[in-house]
Amino acid sequence: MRRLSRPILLLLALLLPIGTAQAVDFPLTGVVDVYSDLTITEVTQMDFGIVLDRDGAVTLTLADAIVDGGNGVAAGGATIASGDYQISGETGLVVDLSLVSATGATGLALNNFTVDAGAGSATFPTSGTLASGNLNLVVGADLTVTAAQAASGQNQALSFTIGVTYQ
Amino acid sequence: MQSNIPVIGLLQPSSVARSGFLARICPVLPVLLLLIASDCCGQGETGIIELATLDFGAVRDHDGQVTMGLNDNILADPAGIHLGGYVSSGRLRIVGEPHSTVWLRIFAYDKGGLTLSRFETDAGTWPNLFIDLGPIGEANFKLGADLRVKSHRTQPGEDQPLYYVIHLIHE
Repeated sequence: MRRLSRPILLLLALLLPIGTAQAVDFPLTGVVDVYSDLTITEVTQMDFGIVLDRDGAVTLTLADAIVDGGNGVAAGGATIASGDYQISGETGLVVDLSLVSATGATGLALNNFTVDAGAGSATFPTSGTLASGNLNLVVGADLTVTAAQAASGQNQALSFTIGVTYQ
Repeated sequence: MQSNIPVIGLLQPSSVARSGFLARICPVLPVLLLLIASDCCGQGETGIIELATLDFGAVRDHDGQVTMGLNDNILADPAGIHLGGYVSSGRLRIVGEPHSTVWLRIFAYDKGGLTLSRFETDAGTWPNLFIDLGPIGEANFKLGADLRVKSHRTQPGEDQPLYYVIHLIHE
């Protein structure tokens, strides 16, 4: 076999496929909305004032007032107040409000909660709007006394938990 | 990338005639060489088209991590930071030379306390993701990932960008 001339070799070399890897970067962007975390702050503690150690119930309204449910359980007091709370979060968003739990000291039971989340009296679950990033919440409830179990004493704890979530 | 080789200018008929085995096809050689040059040097542009943006919906400004699946779904949210909203897996299309294979790698970096990681696709397994572009020179794939929120650096706001880069190697 005769040898190929140089021009032919050069020609063939140029025609052979040249495997050159090329790298390219493509910047891309995902997206997410980040909302302020929700917080709830107690402005005014829910306070039923004074009740007598006898069977009966009182209602704390949304207007800082006690209504006696019968049997003369309510005994006044200077500190009667509806619960007042401020919820903070992302401006303009709506939050769902729920009652998670409610417990009282022995012989004292909380129930029949009422709430005003800016649209008048309502019951849980309800919702409200974080106007300017805040929502004011007023809470009332019934307190039932079971005399056989309740003990006398001041500042007896009445606990409840409110759930707040973005819709 | 396309390159042009001045094939015809290199061909000297008098030199080719002296080579015995080429003499028989000498008259048609210039035409054949022109055709070969046109086929080997023509390469389609290689690129990525975003068909759907990777969208995690809404999260609260709180430390945590959310995992986006490949079917527009949130797979995990152990810290409870996800707030719902419209979510979408990423959908991308690679275009390039038919029957070619491309190699993909993906990188992401933290921006404003938001970081993507642990990318997943339906086209293979990272980090060595090879995709065949098939007879029409394109391939689609879905993209999921983890989003980590570092609240001490994150600021509330809508449509916050999540940056990532696809490094594509092709021949």
